[in-house]
Amino acid sequence: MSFRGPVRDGRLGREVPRSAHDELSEILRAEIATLLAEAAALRATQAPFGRFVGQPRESEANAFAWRVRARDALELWRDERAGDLHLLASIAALPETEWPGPTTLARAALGLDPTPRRRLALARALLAEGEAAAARAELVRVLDASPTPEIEWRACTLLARAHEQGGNDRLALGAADRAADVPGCGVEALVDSLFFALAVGDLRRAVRAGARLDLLLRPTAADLERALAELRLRVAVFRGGSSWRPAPATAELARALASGAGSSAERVAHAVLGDGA
Amino acid sequence: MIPATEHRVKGRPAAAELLARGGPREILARIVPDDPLELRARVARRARERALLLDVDRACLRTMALCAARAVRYRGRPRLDLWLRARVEEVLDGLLDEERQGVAPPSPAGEPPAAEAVRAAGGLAARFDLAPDALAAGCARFHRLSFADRDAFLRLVVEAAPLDATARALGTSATELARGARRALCALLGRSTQADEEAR
Repeated sequence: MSFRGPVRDGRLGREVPRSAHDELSEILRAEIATLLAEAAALRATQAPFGRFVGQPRESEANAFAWRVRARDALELWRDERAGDLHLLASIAALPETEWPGPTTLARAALGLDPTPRRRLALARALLAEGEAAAARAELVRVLDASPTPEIEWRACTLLARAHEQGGNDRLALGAADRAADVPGCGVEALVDSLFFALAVGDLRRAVRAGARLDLLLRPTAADLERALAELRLRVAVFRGGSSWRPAPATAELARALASGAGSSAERVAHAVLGDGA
Repeated sequence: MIPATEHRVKGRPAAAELLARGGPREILARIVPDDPLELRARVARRARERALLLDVDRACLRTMALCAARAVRYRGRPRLDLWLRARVEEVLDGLLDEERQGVAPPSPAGEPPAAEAVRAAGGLAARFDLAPDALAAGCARFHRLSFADRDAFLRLVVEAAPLDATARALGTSATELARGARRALCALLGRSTQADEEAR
């Protein structure tokens, strides 16, 4: 095999090869894509269903921190002519409430960086805006692309939420179970797999999900608190809150778990059944 | 202002001065010709330390581009050596991440990238009749293996180190070392190992 340009045979020549400039352009493109994806995630928190789609890593930074980084990037790349820099500049000049919708921003990020990670971000934006069917289509594309384990469990967790929004708990359970089977999955995947099993009355899978949750997660974990708060909110908004009951086949198990409130699985049941246990 | 404390070669600016002023493309124009920051050697060394099979030429160009992009924010801390090492790590991690995500590397002239370690071993790809696509997929499988297996492969197959002496130096058995190298070779070639066959 050979390699083109001035680095042939591992020796650099006097000139700057075009491929070096291409790599610099790649870095610029990736930086803009990251900033747009972060903006999409921040904007998604204000969308109608934004509180039910989990917090992606991109939104860990707050809007102020995002603005500082966007301003740094615009200053650094001021001599470049990339069209997406103008989009970034126009967003940075506006208050968050006037930014384009999360789907628009996520699509722009995906256009620059067509990877499963960016497509996952687009699906999250769609779901935050209540476009469950479109989100499912994007998630299926993510999962078809043999993603990394991290992308896989995140996509499956989001797919479960999309089915939940569509009112299909049985499909949601299938997706949540797949997410929970991925080694290294997040707490929300484990919590959702137990919750959906209780909701549809699948005793075997509920027992399995509860055992897995207790095995993998300390009941005092901070991540569990966050996942339970999000689950309680979903139950309140989508299922009538304290009047929600598990399916008859798992009702006894749910009541037994909820009366304990000590282990991780017990805390999940208690969170959704509350005093109704 | 960046302190020019780095080693100065006669007739050349000190290493830190190369990163001290101008925009990313100006800095790139200073650090690519003749590789004054010795980035290629740093990339090759670190890739070998991590037992990676990748295109060092491309990793080198990306490291140069990344250094040019990040130099504006570099104020002389940490020490330049450490700062460059961090950029090399960032590039290697990024390339592995792209490989995991199945991102195809850009190939402007339609020519496949070269895998440095493979080429350095005298055309391993040619020896095993691996097409560029198969080589890329093979490298992705290779990088999912443990460090020990990858390192065993590089030592025994690519660098042609003697089996017994290498095993002694690493404090392992020759059998274990050879098994690791074989697992890595099978991953690279996309073939199942004997253990896989037995499992069936």
